[in-house]
Amino acid sequence: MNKKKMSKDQFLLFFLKNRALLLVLIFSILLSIFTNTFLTKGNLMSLARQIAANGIIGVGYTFLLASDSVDLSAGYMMCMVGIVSGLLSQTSLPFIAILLICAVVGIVCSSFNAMIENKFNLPPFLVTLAMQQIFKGTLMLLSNGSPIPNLHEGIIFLGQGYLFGVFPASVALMLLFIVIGHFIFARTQFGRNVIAVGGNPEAARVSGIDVKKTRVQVAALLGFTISIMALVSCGRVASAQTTLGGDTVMDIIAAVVIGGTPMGGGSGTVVGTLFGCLVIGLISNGLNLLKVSSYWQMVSKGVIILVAVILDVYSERIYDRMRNKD
Amino acid sequence: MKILEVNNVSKNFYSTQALSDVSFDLEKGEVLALAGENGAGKSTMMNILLGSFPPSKGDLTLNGKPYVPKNPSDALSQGISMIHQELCLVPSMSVAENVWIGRVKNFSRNGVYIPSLCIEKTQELFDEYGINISPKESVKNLSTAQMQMIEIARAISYDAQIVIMDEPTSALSDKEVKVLYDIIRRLTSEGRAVLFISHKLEEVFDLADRVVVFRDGHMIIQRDVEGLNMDDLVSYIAGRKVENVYPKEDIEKGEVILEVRNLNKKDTFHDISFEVRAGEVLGFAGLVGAGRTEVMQGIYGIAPADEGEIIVEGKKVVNRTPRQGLKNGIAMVTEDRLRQGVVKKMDVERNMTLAYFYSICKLGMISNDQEDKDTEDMIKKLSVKTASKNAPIWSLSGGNQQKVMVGRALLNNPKVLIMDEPTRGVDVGAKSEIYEYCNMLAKQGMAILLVSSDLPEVMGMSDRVAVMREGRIVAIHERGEATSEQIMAEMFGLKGDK
Repeated sequence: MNKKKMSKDQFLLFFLKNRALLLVLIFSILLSIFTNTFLTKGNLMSLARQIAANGIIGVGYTFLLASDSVDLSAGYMMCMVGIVSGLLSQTSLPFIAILLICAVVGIVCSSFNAMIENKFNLPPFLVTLAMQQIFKGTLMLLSNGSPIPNLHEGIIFLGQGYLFGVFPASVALMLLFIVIGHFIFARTQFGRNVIAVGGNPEAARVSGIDVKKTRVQVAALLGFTISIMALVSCGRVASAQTTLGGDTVMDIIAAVVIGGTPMGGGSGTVVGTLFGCLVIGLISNGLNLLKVSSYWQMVSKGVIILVAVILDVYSERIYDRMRNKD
Repeated sequence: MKILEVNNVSKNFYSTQALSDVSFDLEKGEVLALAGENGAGKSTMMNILLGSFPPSKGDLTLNGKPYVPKNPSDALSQGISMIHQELCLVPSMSVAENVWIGRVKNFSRNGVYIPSLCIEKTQELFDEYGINISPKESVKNLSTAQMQMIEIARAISYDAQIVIMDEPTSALSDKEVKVLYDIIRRLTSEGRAVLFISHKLEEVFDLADRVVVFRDGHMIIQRDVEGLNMDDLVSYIAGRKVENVYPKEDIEKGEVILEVRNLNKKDTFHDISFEVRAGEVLGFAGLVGAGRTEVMQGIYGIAPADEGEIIVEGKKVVNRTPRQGLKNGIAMVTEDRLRQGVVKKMDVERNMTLAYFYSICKLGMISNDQEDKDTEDMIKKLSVKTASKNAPIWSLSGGNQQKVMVGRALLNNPKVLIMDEPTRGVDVGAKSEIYEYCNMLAKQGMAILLVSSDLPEVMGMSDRVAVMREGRIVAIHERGEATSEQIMAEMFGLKGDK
């Protein structure tokens, strides 16, 4: 009897671990049954491009959550970087210079969050809550509150262009980020430091890992992905928006958590985040196809996030139960 | 008349036996002292009395009726209150509100809290028991001793029949200790009983009517204090154990590997100097809070000392971080396995290599083959019982988790190994294996620093024993030179050592 129960727990765990993949499958099947537009090339391509930007920042955010941190300011930071890229587009700077400057702005801003957290021993939630307002204000000051059109053609290419005339550049970029991110997470010293810091910072510290430095490095990585994401999403709509950042953070956190990286850190999966992004993308895409109002989309997204977090706690409980049996 | 009876109570946590078959009783109007070393089972007993967890076996009766407390507030409602060793006060609230915490509705009229009523009542209580603190004061402005008095006042305020005091005098100055003595006498004259835990053995003689001694989870004796002398009490507490539990081997000593000179850290430890040779085990005995762990952390680099010298193989080193300590040949198995040791979400392999994986990285990439090989070797070497190297760490018993922690330290190939309470919460089998590693490593020429609150263990396993009290090394004994009574007396700071 005991053995049977064990295997039931293990089955549940398998389901919970791969929940994003399963959700993607279920949604896809349902949508292909109930709509005849879902499985068209045009729709799938637009779905892929919708999630490209989120997938890129999702890589950085996976590291962040795995290290037991959070960043509420990411959305407005992204927006601000977008505005910076818009302003730089009005000059005669080459694309590579714009790219570099934007990357530096993102890395510096995000590292600054972590440095303040380290220096004053503050929770990331509070620091980034305040920083969010600072970024928002700054971007409004920079842009005078209005979007900036006429972006550099390099940025437009990142958002709308095709590689070899067929494959969207933004999707290729996202896949590149996912692959490299996965490798860094799973195979490098840095990736190991991140999960050690997220899993038990005290143990990491006494084992010789520089916890504070690791936190700054994670933030810098996040900042880099934020910058690239900013260029991709501005390029997609061909102008630097001032209001793009609002809901971004929530979507990202939801995608990462649904993907299998727990709030509270200690483990994570970059590939899972890709599927998490797909889940979020499928909700919007599917409900659009089903002609559900965008207000209902918000409600349903919230419900999915809630369910994902509950599942997360639930899998912890199953772990506990299995642990106590020994 | 007996208020409380404890009948054949046992408690085990997983495979660790914390209490075995303990029976004692508490009479109306008496002061009963519980004595014993750290880890002897006193706190476990208190927690059972308070309902923090139930006994594994045995039962309790209160006033002749079965007593099964569900939690501390249930215990309180049945007349058992406790003064905690750690301060549990809300700093931002007033003294009066802290005393009556959770009972504010007693001072309400029509649902509105009236602070003046609370203050009045507190003043009455303070006057009655001779406590001299203003009830209006905010707790954050009080000294530690005054805060402790608030804890005491709170415990009394419940009008409990039994008041449990866990080291109530540890934070008090002489003046307040006198007030506490008066309070205790007053409580007993009102017919209440006091259960008193203290490491200061003089207090047992000053206050208690009877004493119960715990050792290794067993109750050793229950007797009147009258007619008892200090030497007997110390030998009850220390006990005389079978020597061959500790398979200490005589090993040829080599060169001095580690020398520590005049290590100081403000308010923590002072003038720490000693040396250890290759093949030598230097034990550190002392009470919790004597500064042993802090000294080790200073040497390893977790919390560096303010001044002093650390010399490894004749070379002066500075360890300001654990990484520097590791680079300079010092590794440490930390004391608190849950907090500073295991990473719960990692598997056995990653836990094992946590302090080491950085050194097998090329261009930031971990060499997986090397990691696998070293982990498997270490699992074999330490005979860690695990399903595989990729099993989750929590699937291992406490003893095997501890072996992984030892492996973590050993992977760095240290010259000096610090083990801080390596056998705490570890079953007997794993304990003796850890002792065997100790011998094996010493034979290989390692210098070992062993911190243990288990006196027979530290005496049994060490070539020399350093005794610490209040941040200082008060004595260093050669093996077999001192009796456990003598070391115990030094730990407690008793005068008139033999």
